[in-house]
Amino acid sequence: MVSLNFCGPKCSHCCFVLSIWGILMLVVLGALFKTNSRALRSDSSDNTVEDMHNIGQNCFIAAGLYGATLLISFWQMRLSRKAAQQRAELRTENSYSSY
Amino acid sequence: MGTLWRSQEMGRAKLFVPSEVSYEVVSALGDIGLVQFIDANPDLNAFQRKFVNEVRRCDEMERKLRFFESEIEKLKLEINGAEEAASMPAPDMKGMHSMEAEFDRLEREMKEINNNEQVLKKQNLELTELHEILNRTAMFFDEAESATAALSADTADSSNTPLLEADERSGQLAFVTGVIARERVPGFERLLWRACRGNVFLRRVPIDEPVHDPTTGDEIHKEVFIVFYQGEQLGNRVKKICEGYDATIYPCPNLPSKRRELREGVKTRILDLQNVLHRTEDHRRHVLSTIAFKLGGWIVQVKKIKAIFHTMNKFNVDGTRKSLIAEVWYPLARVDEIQHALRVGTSRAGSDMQAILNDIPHDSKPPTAYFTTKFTRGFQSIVDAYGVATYREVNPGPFTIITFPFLFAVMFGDLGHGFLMMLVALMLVLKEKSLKNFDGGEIWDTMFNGRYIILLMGLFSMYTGFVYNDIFSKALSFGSGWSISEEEIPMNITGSATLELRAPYLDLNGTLHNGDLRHAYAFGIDPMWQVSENKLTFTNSYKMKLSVILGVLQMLFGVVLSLFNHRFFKKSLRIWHEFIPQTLFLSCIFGYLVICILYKWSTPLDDFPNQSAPSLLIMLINMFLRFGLPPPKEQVLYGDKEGNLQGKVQMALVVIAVVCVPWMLLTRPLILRSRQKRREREAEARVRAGMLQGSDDDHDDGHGDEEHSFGEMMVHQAIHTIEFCLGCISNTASYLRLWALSLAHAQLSEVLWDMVLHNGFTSWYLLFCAFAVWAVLTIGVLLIMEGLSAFLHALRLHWVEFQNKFYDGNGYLFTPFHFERVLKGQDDDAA
Repeated sequence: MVSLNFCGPKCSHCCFVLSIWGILMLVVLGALFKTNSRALRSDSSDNTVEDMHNIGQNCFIAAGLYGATLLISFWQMRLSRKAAQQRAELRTENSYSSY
Repeated sequence: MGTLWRSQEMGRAKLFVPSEVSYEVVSALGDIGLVQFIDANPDLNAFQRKFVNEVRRCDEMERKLRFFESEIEKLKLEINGAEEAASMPAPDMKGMHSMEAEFDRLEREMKEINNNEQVLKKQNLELTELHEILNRTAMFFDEAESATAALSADTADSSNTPLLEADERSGQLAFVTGVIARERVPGFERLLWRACRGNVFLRRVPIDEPVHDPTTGDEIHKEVFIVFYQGEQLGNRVKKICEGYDATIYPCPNLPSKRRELREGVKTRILDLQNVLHRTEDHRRHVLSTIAFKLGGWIVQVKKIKAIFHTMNKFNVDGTRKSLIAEVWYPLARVDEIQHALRVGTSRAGSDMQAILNDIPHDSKPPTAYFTTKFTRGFQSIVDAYGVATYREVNPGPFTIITFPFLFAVMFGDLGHGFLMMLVALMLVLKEKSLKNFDGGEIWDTMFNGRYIILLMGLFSMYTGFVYNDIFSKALSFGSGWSISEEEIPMNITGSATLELRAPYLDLNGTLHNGDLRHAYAFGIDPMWQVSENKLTFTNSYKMKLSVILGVLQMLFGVVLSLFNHRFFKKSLRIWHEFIPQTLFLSCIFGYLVICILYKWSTPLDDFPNQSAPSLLIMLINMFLRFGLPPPKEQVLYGDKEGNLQGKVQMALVVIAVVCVPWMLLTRPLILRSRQKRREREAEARVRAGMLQGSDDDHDDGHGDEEHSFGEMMVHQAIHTIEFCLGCISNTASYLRLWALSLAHAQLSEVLWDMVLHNGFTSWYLLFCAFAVWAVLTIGVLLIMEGLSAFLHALRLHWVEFQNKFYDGNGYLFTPFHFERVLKGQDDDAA
């Protein structure tokens, strides 16, 4: 069977944390852009309300993308955990096979 | 705090232990870890000591355990039992004997198994190789046979008899078959050709599967070869060459039928042998897995036993009373636990001979001991890393718990970064039980041991982040105090509203060009500053003044702590002629500056005498340069408009500060000298009066260990004074690093936002990538690098600027005999 586990346990944990951070922060940022937050006005290129709304939209889409990476990394974490379990079982089987 | 304020009071005692219970008593003391043994025979080397044989036996046991460990590691089995053994008391002498016997038996068994296995493997190798030869050479013979089938005649059954007799021109042909390692083939071939002048015929075939060397277990690629030659002499030469190249020669019958027979025989023998091999392998695995089940515990137990004997080697032997005597340091507060351990030890040995702990007078310097918890340990180790406190002096440890994370946070102030740091530390703290035994190298250990420090650093950074109103370089707003009207914004051509383009310029006086200050912001810096044009001017001034205030307060606190030291060690001279002038000097110059800063902050511009805010730095410099003169008009901070009051106050302060310098420098040495002179005169008078006895029992306080010559004392005092006076200035300047690092941190996070995340806002896919880059850089640069640098500077401010006001740090650490330390490898003697 071809292993679908293309991301090791460390890598997938990393992506998992990054995704959670990305979702939370981008959603908050998106909401702030939508409400014309003064602190974020310097991030708009031409200072128009429309542009702020667009950026907010972008933030929400990017947050959605991070939602996808969250799912992928969660799936990868499960796969590598399963693989590790199998390896551990194999090892214990080996060491107790003589009993 | 009671236990950390000063180090524990230590007692020096003689410990008398009857020989027959000594092992158990030392073992019980090792469990509680409250007693530091002093080597009673430091001039004896390791081989001259009493328990050298026992130590050697432990070494022998350790060697055997290492042997088991390496065998187990080859099979990749798990080693168990270390956890339980670490919490159990060390085995008694009987247990040690039985362990020794068991290790001996197991080692013999293992060696036997290994030997058997090796012999079997060797046989197996030989048979496989022979099998391969029979298989591979069959091809050569078949070729030859098919060619000569018609002419074939019977041949004798011997390896040296002619093979291809039918071929009359070739005469008597004989052959040798064998196996040779592949890497040796080229050399072998060349030598064979040269030595036999090309009169031999070599054929070879590689064996597909590598064979295993029976002794080392390495994989070796080998080749089967067959050499045809003519004549006895040549045959001998060929065989010698084979020997020289480590080739193994196997006899091979000439007749095809015999060869076939042999092949069948070899095959069945291989099968049998493999059966036996499997069974030995299983047996070996079984033995090793039972060993592995207990090995961890054994290693721990042997380490404990060895540590006990090492400690017993530090005892003196009293032959007449049949007891061992040791000198120990112990914390007086815990004497009950020690007595209890002594009783436990004797009862374990089943004897009624009590061990006795007897206090003795001493004049050596006791070790410094603290009882720390898992929370305070990290902070105490920050202090200890600089220097272990002198016995019973004030320990900066408890204050460090708050001031260290706070000073760090002043430099690291960002709500977002503080929150991330707090999250990481929180994870370490909550999972500390399961992470305790995680082996992640030195960097991991440092971080794990400092988890509570990091947690507090994170929390304090969140607090200062609120004060600075900084979260990832943006500001949080809960209703700014500035009102800026947006109604007047013109509509642009497309009809969408354009927002305020120009950043507002905020004036501390409460006015700006398109709005004004309605009220002060509830907590921290007003968010409007974040978007204002003159943000840096404001925060720089604010942070710079803040760091001077914090620095002066911390230094003043350090000086106050020196008062506690002087009182504790009963040095009244130092209180009057060192502590008081120091406090006056520091508060007259920098204390005054701090008060001025606070006054200036809390005064509206219109309330200054001349409606202009003076520069405090210039005011401080003018205090000395324009001594006696009132400040210029625009420099008046308080009092009348002419600045007469301020001038007089400042003059008085300078006079006090200047007077403090000779006070610090001269009074103490002079008083000490006059006392010494008086004592000498009195002694002379007594000598003249014939009273020679009892001349040295009137030791006064304040100079106990400092009865040196006047010149030496003077130099010492001069250095001390100069260090303090110059230190006040340079240390205050040094505290400006709080501002500098805070500025650097804020600027760096702003740059990161503007250069990375800002560019991503144009489209969603760019944003997706930019956020990842920004997040990684935030962690790598702002959290780790900036965090380390802020940590370093906070460390320096504590070690140098704070601690040099009161801390001596000339003690040495209490190192009790404790199994926990032994097992962690922290005890160097017993390791």
